[in-house]
Amino acid sequence: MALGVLVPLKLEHVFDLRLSFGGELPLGPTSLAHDRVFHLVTGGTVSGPRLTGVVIPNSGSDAPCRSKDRTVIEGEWLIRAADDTVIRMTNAGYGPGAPMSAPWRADVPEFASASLHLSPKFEAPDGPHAWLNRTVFVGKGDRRRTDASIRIFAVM
Amino acid sequence: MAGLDASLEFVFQVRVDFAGRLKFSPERNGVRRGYTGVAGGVIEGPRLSGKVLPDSGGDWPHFMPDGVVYFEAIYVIEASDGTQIVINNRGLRHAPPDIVAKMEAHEPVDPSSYYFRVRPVFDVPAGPHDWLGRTIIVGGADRHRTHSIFTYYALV
Repeated sequence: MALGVLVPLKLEHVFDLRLSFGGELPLGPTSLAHDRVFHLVTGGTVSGPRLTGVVIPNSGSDAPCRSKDRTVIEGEWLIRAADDTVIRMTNAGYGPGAPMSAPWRADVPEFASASLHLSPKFEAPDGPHAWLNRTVFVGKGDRRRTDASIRIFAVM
Repeated sequence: MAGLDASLEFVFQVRVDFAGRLKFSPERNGVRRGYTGVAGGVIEGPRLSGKVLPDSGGDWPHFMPDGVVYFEAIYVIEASDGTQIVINNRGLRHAPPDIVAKMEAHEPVDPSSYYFRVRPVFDVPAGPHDWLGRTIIVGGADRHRTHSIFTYYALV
């Protein structure tokens, strides 16, 4: 029995990102009860029906932290849209877990095939890209050792 | 980018009963701050049922000058097996001016006439509900004067 009207949601594909990363810098297990690694975001592209541009080289980081049952995705970088607007993207989400004693390898097989489930946020100035501030997003991603593909959907 | 398709699967609804609202004077840059207490509530659905723990938290929204409201709610939900789970329900709402006027007067408004979407994160212990800690969940809200009903979907 429903508590009330089931608000229907739909996903609308808005754009895709391809990211490239620098080498791994493991921080090791920390007092926050997880094992974090840092990768510089060295560049990338953005393409799709609602946004086109590039990931500004060396503008941020991908710094996931893992524990036994999940990897928590945390990252942040800048996009330069085709009209030169600079947009901040904050990535968040989950991937598969791994034993904390295992070496950090972003290309473990578990990370392939859409294993990253994401809910990114964006910060854009007033203007044609301000819709990014007013929309909830989800994403799916494939992560390999030195690059990733991410598909972004608006939750409508 | 084959394989990065996504869909949503209905998981549960939460009715949150409110315990009073406050709205504070414009702060810096015209942003107003609010508070809505959480009095209790009910959870029902295929993946979770239980209740909202009475008086376990509230929402501290930001009312932006452009009419967008950003939500930042923290309270406790209790599954029917007694597991207590902290929900941090973040999201946003915006609507055309005539709908905003009705909402501010707490008149009934159809949820399809505004955009009110949330992306909660959960602090959950290991056990039967720990999927909440590694699943991207998004929701749509149906707002009423005394309560809101959130319909939640998992990203699959």
